[in-house]
Amino acid sequence: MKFIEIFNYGDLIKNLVSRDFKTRYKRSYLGILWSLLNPLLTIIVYTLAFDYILKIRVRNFPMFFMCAYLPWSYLSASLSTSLTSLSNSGYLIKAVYFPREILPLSIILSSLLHFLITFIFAFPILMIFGYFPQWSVLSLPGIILLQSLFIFGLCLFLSSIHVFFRDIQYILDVILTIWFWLTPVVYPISLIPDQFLFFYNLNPMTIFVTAYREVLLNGALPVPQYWIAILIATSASLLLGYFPFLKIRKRLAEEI
Amino acid sequence: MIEIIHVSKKFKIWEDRSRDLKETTINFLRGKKRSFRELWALRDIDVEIKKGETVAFIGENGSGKSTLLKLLSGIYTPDEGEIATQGKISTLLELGVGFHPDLTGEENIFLNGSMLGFNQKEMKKKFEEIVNFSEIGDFIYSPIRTYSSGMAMRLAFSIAMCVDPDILLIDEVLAVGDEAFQKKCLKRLEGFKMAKKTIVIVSHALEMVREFCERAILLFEGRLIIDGSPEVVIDKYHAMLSTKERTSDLERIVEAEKVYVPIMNEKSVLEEKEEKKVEKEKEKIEEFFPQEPKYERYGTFEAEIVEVVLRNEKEEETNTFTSAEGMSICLKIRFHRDLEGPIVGFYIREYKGDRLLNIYGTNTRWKNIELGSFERGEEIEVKFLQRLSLPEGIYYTLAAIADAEETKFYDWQENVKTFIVKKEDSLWTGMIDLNSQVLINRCC
Repeated sequence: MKFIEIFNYGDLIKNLVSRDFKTRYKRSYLGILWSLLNPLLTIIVYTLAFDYILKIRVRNFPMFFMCAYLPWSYLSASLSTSLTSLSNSGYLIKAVYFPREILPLSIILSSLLHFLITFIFAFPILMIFGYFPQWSVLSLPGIILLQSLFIFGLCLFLSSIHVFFRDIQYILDVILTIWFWLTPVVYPISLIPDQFLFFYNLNPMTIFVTAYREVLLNGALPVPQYWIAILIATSASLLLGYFPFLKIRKRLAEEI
Repeated sequence: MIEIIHVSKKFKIWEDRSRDLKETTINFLRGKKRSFRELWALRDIDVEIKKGETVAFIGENGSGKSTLLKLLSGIYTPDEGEIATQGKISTLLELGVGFHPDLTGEENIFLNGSMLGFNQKEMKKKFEEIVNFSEIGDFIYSPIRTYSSGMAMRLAFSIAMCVDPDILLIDEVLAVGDEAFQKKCLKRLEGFKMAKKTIVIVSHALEMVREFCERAILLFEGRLIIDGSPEVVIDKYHAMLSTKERTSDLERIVEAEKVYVPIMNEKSVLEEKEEKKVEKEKEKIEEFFPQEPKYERYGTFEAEIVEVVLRNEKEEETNTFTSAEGMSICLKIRFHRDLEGPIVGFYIREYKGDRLLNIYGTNTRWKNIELGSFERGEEIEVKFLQRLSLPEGIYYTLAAIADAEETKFYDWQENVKTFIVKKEDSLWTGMIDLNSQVLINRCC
């Protein structure tokens, strides 16, 4: 019943997302353009470093990198901004009742919005580089939805933990860096030695990133095993997130 | 409708508030759990509020009234018991919850409204009303950070006042804003009342409670003390405050007059204890007399009523009188401070139904008697003489001494003496002897 309650607060979610969206770049000169400039500059820097200096053997590195970096930055931005979504909203939680998961959720949705905007701009760039969208593109909404649920689970987990352990904030930075390098964002999986491949594939982000590349660069659908892996990862993440969240939900207003 | 069924709420007070990983790990490895105390903020509260009632929770800070409101709104969950509510609840615990300075007034209205649980459609309908009510005008399209604090407050108020819930929970928020605006809000609340909305408020503004609410509930240290009409409940609250003042006053006196007063205190506290013990035993004996009122005493104790003596016409101490007999009530008073112009008085009370009614009362001021000034340590006797024109029954006496302005009671003792009136003549009937003269004129 509590899970359904969230749908009665659709307008609140909408307003919170639009608040976050409107205020994120408020009073900055370039505003929403930063959502585009930021990944663009990152792509340029990584291309210089890995394509020209380190000479990594990947076909069309900028596009290879972009297809993985955009979903990755969706994850990392969501995690680092929603981490404090419960602990910093004490004033709200103490003053008015609404389902608390709305707080991390609205931040994720706002990140999703930014992700989608950059993603739309990715298509013409891909076409310039000769990658034209195939029918498989139609599976993208599904992948994005599942990734969003995956992120939501993690955010619930982290923001709940953060109420009690503020240290998680600093640990998260390290974890995100390690996670980034354990995910094939800047290099192809083919570089991973065979004996580690099984463990390497246990990383859900490996699956997500590969799925995006399959669809955008190869114009193919991810193989069924990938879909199963994605579904498992998503459900595991939601379970992981709701478990501590439900534990603290009742006492949230007192503990903050 | 709101049902609060035997609700209790406790808080954990952490002894050490540190939450870094290092200490947590060390404590965890040592098998040491974080220590905390439990504080019961509310204990076994059982209240039913009907649709359309306006109820105020009053009590001192920390009495649990705000906690109760938060339980009603769903912000807190009870540890014991249950809360059942019917209808849409709007909570005004804090004004302008979630106002964002960079958003315009308009955007903030919708955001705030949705936080209070109203959807976009409802808010659109109310939008104009809110803007008019707030008297903000075109500023509504500017970011809130450009507002004066008064304007932001008015906007927050207006949202709170214009939304349309079934149940409105208000925590002290009406105490702010300028007077004219406050009046406007009160008028609005009157409108809510007329529309049979349920309103629950938490307030220190007792005057407002008295005027506005139909019912008041006094909480003290998390327990429900009394639930009834605002007049009765507020009187009780004043009595409690006065007792508390007495305690702190005593402390001050002890501090200032270390030689004499401590002995007196101990004695009087002991006496009080003794009296209470006696009273308790009496209670046990008189279990079949459930209406026997309790002896209660409070005041600042700067002057003390040491003794109350009832005498009949023959100057004999007694507690049985016949109506038509003369009776004297003698109050022996001791002063613990230099005091000027105190007022001494008494009441005679009787049970009517389940209420203790004042049958008669008077005091020295009403009788135009100036008591003059007294020095510390002085003792006086004040004697009231009257004829008991009362019907048969059991009566209780209340004796009190107050300062010249009647702003505080030095000593107030309820039900200090009980006496019985027997009616032996049959010259009259009813509640009171009006002492009729009978005249007969033959006409024609």
